[in-house]
Amino acid sequence: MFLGYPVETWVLQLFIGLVNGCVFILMALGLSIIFGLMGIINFGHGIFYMLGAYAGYTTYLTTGSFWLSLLVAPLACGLFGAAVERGLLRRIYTAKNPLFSGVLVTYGLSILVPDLIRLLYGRPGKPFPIPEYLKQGFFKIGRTEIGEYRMFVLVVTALLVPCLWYVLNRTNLGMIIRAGSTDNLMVQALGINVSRIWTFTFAFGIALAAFAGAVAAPLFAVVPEMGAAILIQNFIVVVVGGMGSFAGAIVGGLLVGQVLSLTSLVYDVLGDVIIYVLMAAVLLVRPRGLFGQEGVFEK
Amino acid sequence: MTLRDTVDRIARYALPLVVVLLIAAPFVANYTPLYTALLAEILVFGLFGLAFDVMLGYTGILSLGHSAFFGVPSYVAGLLLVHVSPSLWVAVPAGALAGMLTAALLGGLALRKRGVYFAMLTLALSQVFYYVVRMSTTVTGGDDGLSGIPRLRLTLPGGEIPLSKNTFNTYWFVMVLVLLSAIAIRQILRSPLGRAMQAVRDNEQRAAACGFNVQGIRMAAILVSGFFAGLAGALLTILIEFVPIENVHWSMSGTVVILTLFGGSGTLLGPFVGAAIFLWLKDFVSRTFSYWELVVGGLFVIIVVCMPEGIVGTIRKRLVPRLRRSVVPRRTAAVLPTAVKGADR
Repeated sequence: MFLGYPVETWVLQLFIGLVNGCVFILMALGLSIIFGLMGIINFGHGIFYMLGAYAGYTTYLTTGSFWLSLLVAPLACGLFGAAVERGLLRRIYTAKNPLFSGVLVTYGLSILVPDLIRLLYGRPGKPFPIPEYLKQGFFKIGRTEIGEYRMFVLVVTALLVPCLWYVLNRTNLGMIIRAGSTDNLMVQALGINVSRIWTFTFAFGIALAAFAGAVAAPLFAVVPEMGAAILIQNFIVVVVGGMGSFAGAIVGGLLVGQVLSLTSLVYDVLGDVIIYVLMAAVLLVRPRGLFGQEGVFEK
Repeated sequence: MTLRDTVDRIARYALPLVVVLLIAAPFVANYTPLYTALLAEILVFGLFGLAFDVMLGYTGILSLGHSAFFGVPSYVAGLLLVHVSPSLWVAVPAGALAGMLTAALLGGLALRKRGVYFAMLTLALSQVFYYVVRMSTTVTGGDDGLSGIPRLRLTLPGGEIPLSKNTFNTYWFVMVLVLLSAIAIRQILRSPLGRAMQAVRDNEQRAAACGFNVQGIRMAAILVSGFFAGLAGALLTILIEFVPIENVHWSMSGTVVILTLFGGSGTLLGPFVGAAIFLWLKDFVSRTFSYWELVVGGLFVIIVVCMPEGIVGTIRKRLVPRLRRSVVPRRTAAVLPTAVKGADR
C-alpha cells in the first residue's frame, strides 16, 4: 500500500497516464511544429482536436467504419486548417504585431467554433463507442483489465512518432520546415515558396491534433468543450518540453500525462495546479524548456 | 467653421456631456436595449477594460492574467462583505488594494520576461489563483461561487442610501466610482508617468536610452492596471451581489481582451464601447438565438483582421485626422513631416 492506494492502482494510473500522454504527444507535436515554423501561438489548437473528434463521430455515424473515421478526421480538419491559414491567418502576418494578432485571431476562433458545433450537434456530448474488435481485455494490471483500445492508442502513437521524426529529419520537406524555423527569410531568399510551406505545415499540425481527437474520442467524452481544457494543458506540455522541439513534445507530453494521472489519486485538481506551477517555473527559470533551442525567447 | 472645429468644440464639452448623459440614463435606459442593470454592468466591465488597456494600449504589454486582478478582488470584496462588514467603504478600497497587490505579486514574477513569455506566464500564474480559489470550497464556495452577501447600503454622513434591490441607486453608485476612476486613469496617462509608459510602448530601447527606468515603468503600469481592475471586480460583486467562480477563470482574461479590442485599444472610450457591444450582444443573443459565443467570437475575429484599431479607434483614424489635446495618440507620424518642413525654412 502506498499513500492509501494499493500498488496495482498506482501502476494502473501509470499506464493510464502513459495513454493520455500519447494523446498529449500527438497534439503537442502539432502545436510545436506550428509554433516552431510560423511563430504563431495557436490558441485554436484545441478546437481542431474537438473538430477531429466530431469529424470522427460523424464519419462513424454515416459509414460505421472506425478506421475510416480515423482517416477522414485528420484529412477533413487538415483541409479546414489550410483554409483557415489562407483565409484568416494570412491577413494578419503583415499586421503591426503578428504575434498578438495571431493569439487574438486563434482565440476568437476558439470561442466561435465550439458554439458552432453546439449549434450543429447540440450541447450534450455525443457517444463514440470503442469499436467491437478493440474491446476485449488485453492484459491485466492487478484486478483491472486493460482494454485493447488503450493498447491501440499506445501502438498507434509509437508507430506514428518515428514516422513523423523521419519526415521532419530525413526528407526535403522536413528540412525546409526546420530551416524555416531557424531563418525564414533565408529560406525565401533561396527561392522556396514559403507561403505554401506555411499553409501545409499549419494544416499538418492541425491534422495531427484532429487525429489525436479522433483517437481519443472513445476514451473521453465527445463534447464541444473538450478542446478548451486540453488546449492549456498542451501549452504547458510545449512550454515545458520546449517550443519547436520534437523530443520536448514527447517528453513533455509523457510528463504532463503522468503528473495529471498520478496526482488524481491524491486530490483531483492538484494535478492542474502542479502543471501550472511547473509551467510558470519553467518560464522563469529555463524559458526554452527542457529541449528547446537556446536563444529562443531567452530574453 | 470646419468639421475639425466642430469636432473640437464637441470634444471640449465631452466630459460634462457624458456625465450628464450618464446621470440621466436610468430614466430612459429601460426603454432602450441597454436597460439600467446592463448599463451598470457595462460601466464596470468598461473600467476593467480600461484598466487592462493601461497595460496593452499605453504600455504595450499584453497580459493574459487579468482574471486574477479582477477575480481575486471580487472575492476579497465579497468575503469582507459577508464576514467582516457590509460597509461599502471597506469593500471597495479593499478590492482595489487587493488588485494592486495581486498585480505586484504577478508582476514581480512575470515582468522578468517580455512578449509571448510574459503573456503565458500571466496566464499560468492567474490560473494558479483560479485553482486555489476553487479548492478552498469552505471559504469561497468553490465552483458554486460566493453567496450570502448581505443587504448593501451606502452610509454617508447625511444618511443611508439603500443599494440592494434598488437598481437606480446601485447604478448611480457604480457610475460615480467608474467615472472618478476613468478620470483618474486619464490623468495618470497624461502625467509624466503616462508619457513614459507610452514611450516604452513605442520604442522600448529608445526609452531606455533616454534614461527611463523601463522595468520600473512596466511595474507601475501593472500596479495601476491591477488597482483599477480590482476596483472593477469589487464593483461587480456589489452590483450582482454574488461572486461566480468564472470571475477568476482565464476566460475572463479572454473576455477583457475581446471587449477592449472591440472598442479600440489606446482610446479612453474604446473599452466602454467594447463592453457595451459585448455585453449587449451576449444578453440579446442568449435570449433569442442562444449561441452568443458564435456571434461574439465571429465578430471578434472580423475586428482583429479588418479593424484592428477597434470601433472607436477606426472612427478616430478616419474621421478625426488630427492631433487632439487629450492623450497623445499613437500615430505621431502625421505630425513629424510638417514639423520638419517648418524647420527647413
